[in-house]
Amino acid sequence: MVRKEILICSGTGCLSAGSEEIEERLMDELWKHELEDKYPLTRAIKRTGCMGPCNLGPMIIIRPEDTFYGNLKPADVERIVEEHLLKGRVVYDLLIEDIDGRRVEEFEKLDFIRGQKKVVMRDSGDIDPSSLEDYLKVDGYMAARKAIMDMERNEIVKEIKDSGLRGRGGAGFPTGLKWELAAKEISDQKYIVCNGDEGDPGAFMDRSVLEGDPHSIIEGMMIAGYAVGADQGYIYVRAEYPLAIRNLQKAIRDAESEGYLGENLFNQGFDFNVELRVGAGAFVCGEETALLSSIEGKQGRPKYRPPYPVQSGLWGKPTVINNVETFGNIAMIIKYGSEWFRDIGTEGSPGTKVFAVAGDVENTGLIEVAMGTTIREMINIAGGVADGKRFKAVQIGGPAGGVIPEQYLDTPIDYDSLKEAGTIMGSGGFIVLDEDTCMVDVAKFFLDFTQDESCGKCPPCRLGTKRMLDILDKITKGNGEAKDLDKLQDLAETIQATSFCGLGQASPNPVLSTLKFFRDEYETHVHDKKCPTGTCKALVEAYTINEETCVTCGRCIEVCPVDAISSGENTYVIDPEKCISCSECAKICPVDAISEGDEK
Amino acid sequence: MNTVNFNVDGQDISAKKGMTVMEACEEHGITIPKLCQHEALENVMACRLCSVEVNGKQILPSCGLQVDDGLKIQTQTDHLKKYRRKILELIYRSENHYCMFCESDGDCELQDLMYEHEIDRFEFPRMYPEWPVDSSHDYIIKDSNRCIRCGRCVRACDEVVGNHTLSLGGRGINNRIIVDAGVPLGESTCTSCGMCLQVCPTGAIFSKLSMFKGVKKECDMTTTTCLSCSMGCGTNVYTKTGHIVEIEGADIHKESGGQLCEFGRFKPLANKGERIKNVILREDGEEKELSLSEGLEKASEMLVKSYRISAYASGDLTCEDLDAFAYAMRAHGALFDVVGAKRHRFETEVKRRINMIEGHFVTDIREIMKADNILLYDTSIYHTHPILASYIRRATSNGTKLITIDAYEDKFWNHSDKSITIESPKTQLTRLVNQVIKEGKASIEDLSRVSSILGGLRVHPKDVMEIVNLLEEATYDIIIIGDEIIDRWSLRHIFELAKLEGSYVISLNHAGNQYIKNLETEGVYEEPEVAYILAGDEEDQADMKELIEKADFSIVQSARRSELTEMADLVIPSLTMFEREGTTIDINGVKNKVERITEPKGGIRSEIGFFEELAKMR
Ligand SMILES: Cc1cc2nc3c(=O)[nH]c(=O)nc-3n(C[C@H](O)[C@H](O)[C@H](O)COP(=O)(O)O)c2cc1C
Ligand code: SF4
Ligand code: SF4
Ligand code: SF4
Ligand code: FES
Repeated sequence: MVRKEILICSGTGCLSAGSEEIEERLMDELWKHELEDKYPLTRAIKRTGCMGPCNLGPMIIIRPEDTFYGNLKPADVERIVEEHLLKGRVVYDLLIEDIDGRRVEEFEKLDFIRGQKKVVMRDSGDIDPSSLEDYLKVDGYMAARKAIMDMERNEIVKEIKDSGLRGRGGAGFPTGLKWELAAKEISDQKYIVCNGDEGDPGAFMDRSVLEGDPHSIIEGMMIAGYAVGADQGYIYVRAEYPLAIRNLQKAIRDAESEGYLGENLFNQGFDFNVELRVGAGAFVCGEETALLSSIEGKQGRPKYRPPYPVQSGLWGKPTVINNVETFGNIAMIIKYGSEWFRDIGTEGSPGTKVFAVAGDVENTGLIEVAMGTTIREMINIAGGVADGKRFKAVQIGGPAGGVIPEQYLDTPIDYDSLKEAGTIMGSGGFIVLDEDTCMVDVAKFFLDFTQDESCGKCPPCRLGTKRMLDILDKITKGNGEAKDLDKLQDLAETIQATSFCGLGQASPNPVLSTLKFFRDEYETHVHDKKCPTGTCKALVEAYTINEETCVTCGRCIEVCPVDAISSGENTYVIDPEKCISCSECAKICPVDAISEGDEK
Repeated sequence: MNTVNFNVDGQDISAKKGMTVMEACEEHGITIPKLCQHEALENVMACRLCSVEVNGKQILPSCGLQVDDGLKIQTQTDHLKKYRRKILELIYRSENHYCMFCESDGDCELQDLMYEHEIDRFEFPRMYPEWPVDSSHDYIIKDSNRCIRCGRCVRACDEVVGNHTLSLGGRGINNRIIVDAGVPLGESTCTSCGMCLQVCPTGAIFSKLSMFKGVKKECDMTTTTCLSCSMGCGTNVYTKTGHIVEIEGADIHKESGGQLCEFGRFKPLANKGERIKNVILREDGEEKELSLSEGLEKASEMLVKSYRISAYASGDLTCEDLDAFAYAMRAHGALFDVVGAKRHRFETEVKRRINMIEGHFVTDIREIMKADNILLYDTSIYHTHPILASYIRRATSNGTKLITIDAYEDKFWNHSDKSITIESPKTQLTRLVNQVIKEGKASIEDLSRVSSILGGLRVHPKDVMEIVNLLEEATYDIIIIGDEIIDRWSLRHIFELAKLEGSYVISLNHAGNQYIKNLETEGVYEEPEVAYILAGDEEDQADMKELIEKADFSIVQSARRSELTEMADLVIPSLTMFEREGTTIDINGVKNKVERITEPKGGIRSEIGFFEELAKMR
């Protein structure tokens, strides 16, 4: 008899959706039905890292048949156990409805999964991240063994160079070249550093890899260490990622006790150790020189380059610093070769990229796609724009990136095309914005983030971003003046040209790109004192009730937070002086009798 | 080739490799605006005002950019000017800059740049920050509302003073100067050296003692040497209509980085003691004022009729003053001594006995920063020799190991690698260390045995071993002896240790002028008929007081009234540190000039003339 396995996603998203309770109920039910022979409790239920479609959590996959149940409620567990496990019948109504309304049985058949190409996220959601044994079962540490036992150091560097892998931390610097430079440095000590600071708002790609497949990162670092001649690695993780920290600690401990870290690895005389460093979580600490300072125990502020870390990094020694996702690719490239890797993605940007898809789409979560996938395809994988709304733009690249409007929907996602379209790849933020989104508000959101995260060193960044934010605030409050848009442009130019680090230099991007593509929307705010989407509350006119349609049900009275509505003769009336345009009444009205401004 | 050729604003320039573009430009008379760069400090490229255009494309800060062959630099394009004006306005309008109410009005680098860039109208409204003003410190006021976050003060405290009291904390517009873990300056680890306010380009950190006294730019400035201790720091003294406005460190290019300590920068301005204008005679319970010549008469009368005369001089005087005083006193058959000379005599005696050569002494105390190890006996030098202490702190930040031995708390506790508190720090511990070194490697067990046999030796064998190991491993170690170590035995054992290990020694005297080494002193009668004391500006006059208490008749010559002058029978006016002139010899044996800064305001014009007269009157 085939032993069944129940995988329960225990990524951060699912944990907060209540996966632990589901797990407890599963155990209870198995126990109740005396199934522990068939399903040994400690092994049948496997906690995995993030499976991807986060808004379907809590979720489980039952193997070997690969049945996927999502959005589980504790009460559903009993049925799954009784029906599926005991009787072998799929619980049809607990299956997830896909985009076309069909219920999908197998995980791999979900539209959300089918469009993806998993390289970095290969094991996450598939194995128990706290188990070295699990990792070994999926050929874990085989790439390291191959590299260290069968390959010359320069062969490895060449393989990575040939693969065309570019750094996934944002800038897209060729990883092989970085390693080559570090390998050439002559020094008694070199370091490998994994950048797991991941500070972009809403980003959780690196977090999911660290949580879901920690050994793969250690393996990537180890291969890097061997290739450039470093025997010490540091993984820098932000303190806000307790699960990643726990899983990494366990992974390092297990690897050490099983001889995958330490001295004389694979009997080849190569030593490699990894230490975890927990950061205070400032955004700018993700910048490489600031991060290295922080590891050294100093204040996390960017330093002047050159010298670059590959020449003089940690404690002045040559240091390779790469992003988590970058390291996540290494073992696969060594295992399957650079040709295989080049076959995925595009000429200039081989491989895949993981995105944290958020905003107004049906399915949010992590999506790993081959480079070259178009923005339109990405949105389709995520189930399209939510609630049948119209697409307006997508924000890519986080606070350093920009928006892409509808006319660029067929832009392929790769480093160069995105740059051409006016944004950057960044670390993988992908926020879909529907027609109800105010672009001034979007710009404000990102600027608010950067001005708050500026380390404060450079006046243009520290004060300039604050001034830009003040101007945006003024515009959204209805006090915008004609010259404000020029002021924004002017400030942006100074900040870009004179800020020290990438944070400052890129901070005006969200404003500039929204200004470029949606200038009319800014102008409407400034000249007509209106917010076309009704987002900027101060600019929305009072709501009115259409006398003819109103059925005097009285629901609006109940929801109005400021008691602006009273009953009139055949209708209800909104006092325009009191109305704060919160739109609660319009939302609740069953006959759509309430609208903004004078009745139409 | 050590020079590189490049082009600035169309002009071909050559400069030494390793220089920054800003330095090279300044050398050629091309000035680039700056606020965060300071010659004594590391470049951090914070203010961005010095940005220049490089090769027609990149914009980079010239204070961080190294010169290179073929660079094409533009310093004054329209774009750059626009950026600079914008940055200046951002700074000026975001902090509370109301120049007419500011202590630095007229002495402010930000204000200068605002004028220079002709910024007379503003695009942005004021932000009105409301940081609390910190006036908890005796001498320093810190007003974050005028701070431009250039970080000079932080770097000065860190790199020059080695004290790490100040840091920058908080993100975005909340970024500001933090004192220790956020305490008021007056309750912090601040050593009151005032280096922060010397480098601050604005009115964000300033001296209480210089407030309302005048604009430095309009002052006369004289470079002289501080007399408060033997470090011999160069000072720039700013005066206006005969009053001292501010004192700053002068040796910016030396390794001291222009540092001064509390005694050099603040104390001289804080001294509010009343000046002595006339001679005071206390006789039969009455106080009489005499003229200077009457005072001279009275002094010589007492000296002539007495046999046992003790003459005692401050160490904070010029060589010439000391000479004149010694000459006059000897003419009257007095025994002559200077503060700190006793230690020097012991030292000389010990050195002769153990045959220790001068080569063991450090000839330039900045060597401290190059040592592998420092063994420090007596940590009170933290307060008595603050500049030297700063070198020790800086050395430890660069990896020098520090072992401190003190009878009380270790004042270098957060810098020392090992601190040993032992009640009698001198003899026993060092003796044992010497013995171990002489006998070769000993084990902890051996040591325990020895220390129990020696009895009463409250030394932990581990401490002994640690010192031995440290000294044996190092190639360059320095033993520093503080001024509290004064007995012969301690000195002898420490010197022996230095000899055994080939360590270098810095022996610190309490007193200032190293000239006392050249003066033949002999120690004075403890119970003299007449005690004649020539005081300086020192605060601690305990041994002077002790001497006159035991004298039948006491003469004190001093610039200001103090407890000491209140005790004396005859008080004669004297000069302050800034009224003296001549030379002084510093700890490295270098003779420095002491300039007269202010005209004598007390009851005497020339002390040397006075002593010459006195010498004749026997
Ligand atoms: C403000 C700022 C924040 C950054 N944050 C991150 C981050 O969170 N994670 C990351 O991997 N790289 C971040 N980077 C990029 C790093 O400086 C660096 O380029 C990267 O770690 C190099 O790795 P890669 O070549 O593998 O991309 C940031 C850069 C800047 C300027
Ligand atoms: S650009 Fe901003 S974040 Fe970067 S160093 Fe300057 S102030 Fe700090
Ligand atoms: S710090 Fe300078 S610019 Fe600011 S108020 Fe004072 S003098 Fe004016
Ligand atoms: S207090 Fe002065 S020196 Fe310190 S950061 Fe502020 S402006 Fe600069
Ligand atoms: S002087 Fe160069 S950045 Fe401030």
